Amino acid sequence: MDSRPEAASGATFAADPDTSLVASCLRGDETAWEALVKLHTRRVYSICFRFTGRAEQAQDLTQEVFLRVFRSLKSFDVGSGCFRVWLTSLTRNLLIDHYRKTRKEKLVDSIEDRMTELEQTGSPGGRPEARVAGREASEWLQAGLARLSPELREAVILRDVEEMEYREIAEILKVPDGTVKSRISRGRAELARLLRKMGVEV
Amino acid sequence: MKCSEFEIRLCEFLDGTLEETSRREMEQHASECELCAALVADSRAVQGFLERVEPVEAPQELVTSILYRTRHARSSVWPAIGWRRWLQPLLQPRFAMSMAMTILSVSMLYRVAGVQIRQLEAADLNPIQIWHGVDNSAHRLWNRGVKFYQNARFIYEIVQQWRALDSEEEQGAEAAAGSPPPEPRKLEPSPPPARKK
Ligand SMILES: [Zn+2]
Repeated sequence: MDSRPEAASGATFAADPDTSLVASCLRGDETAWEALVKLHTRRVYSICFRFTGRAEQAQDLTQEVFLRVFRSLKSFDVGSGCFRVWLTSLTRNLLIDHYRKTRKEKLVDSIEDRMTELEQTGSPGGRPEARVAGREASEWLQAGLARLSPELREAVILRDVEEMEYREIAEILKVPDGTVKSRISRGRAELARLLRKMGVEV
Repeated sequence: MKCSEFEIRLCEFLDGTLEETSRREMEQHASECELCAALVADSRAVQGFLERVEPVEAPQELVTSILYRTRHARSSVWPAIGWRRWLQPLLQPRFAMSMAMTILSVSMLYRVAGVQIRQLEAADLNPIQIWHGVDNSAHRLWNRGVKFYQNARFIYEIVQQWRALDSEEEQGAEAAAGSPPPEPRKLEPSPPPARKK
């Protein structure tokens, strides 16, 4: 260990406020953990909700993500890693596990049912207005994402919803940059086609 | 330019981060390839749509329940320490003595209930053992107690008490004329273990 670890890590802390919070957490500081949870709950929930399309599931998964973070925080390398990317990786891995498990339980069927229902009746207000926005647009986006393959879905969510960098997404998905960009492009095009099919103007 | 390459570079093309030459190549390809032209239009359309989408907000109670659950997970993160480690400070000589005296008093109460106590060991400090490990060898315990404990007066008092209890017990046994001694004060719900020799 460096004789002056405080000075050495000080520069890193300034660059990423999460890192200093994580360091405090590892020293057993409960308020730092609370701050970390508060800072990232919305993001994790948003990814889970966009990916699964179910509020209750997204809540359960978000809780599971933070339980895992809590247990494995020690394995996060404060010196070199970006906490946000690490957290998103953890979230993504859990979502993929969840997807594989629930696919067997025919959850996809229930999404399909809901989709057909949405296509036939439209969102709660009937067929979509020519140009939807706000909450209504959010519901249509959800319906569109549910029909995307998980591969394209996660790429679009991480880039267009969570606005992450390509190299960060590549790190999370463990694929090359080019693959990430190609998936994002195909995902967007597919999403546009799906939304139009549902009568949403894009 | 191949369509697959166009697909990859499209991201940066839309971000506006492509350098001039690359951008021109892209525009050139899109003007010649219908599929890629549609890809550009669709991607732009989706980006516009996404800007109109209301961001997802987490339910308010979510943070609370996460904090609640992680607080509870703490016990599994820090594995439960055994009773021995928990009692470690109590096994220091100073505390061990008062502990021993406590057990001595407990053993005396057990004597009233017709049970004797065996030699005191660290294992006896396990609360469960205190209640279940009662056996004979009360004398050895007694000797150890005397060795440890320097307050002779207190010992004296205990001896007096013990003797008083003993004579009471004997009197009680005589009065009962062979029948079991009268039911003592209820001290512990579980029945005392069988005596071993
Ligand atoms: Zn092309």
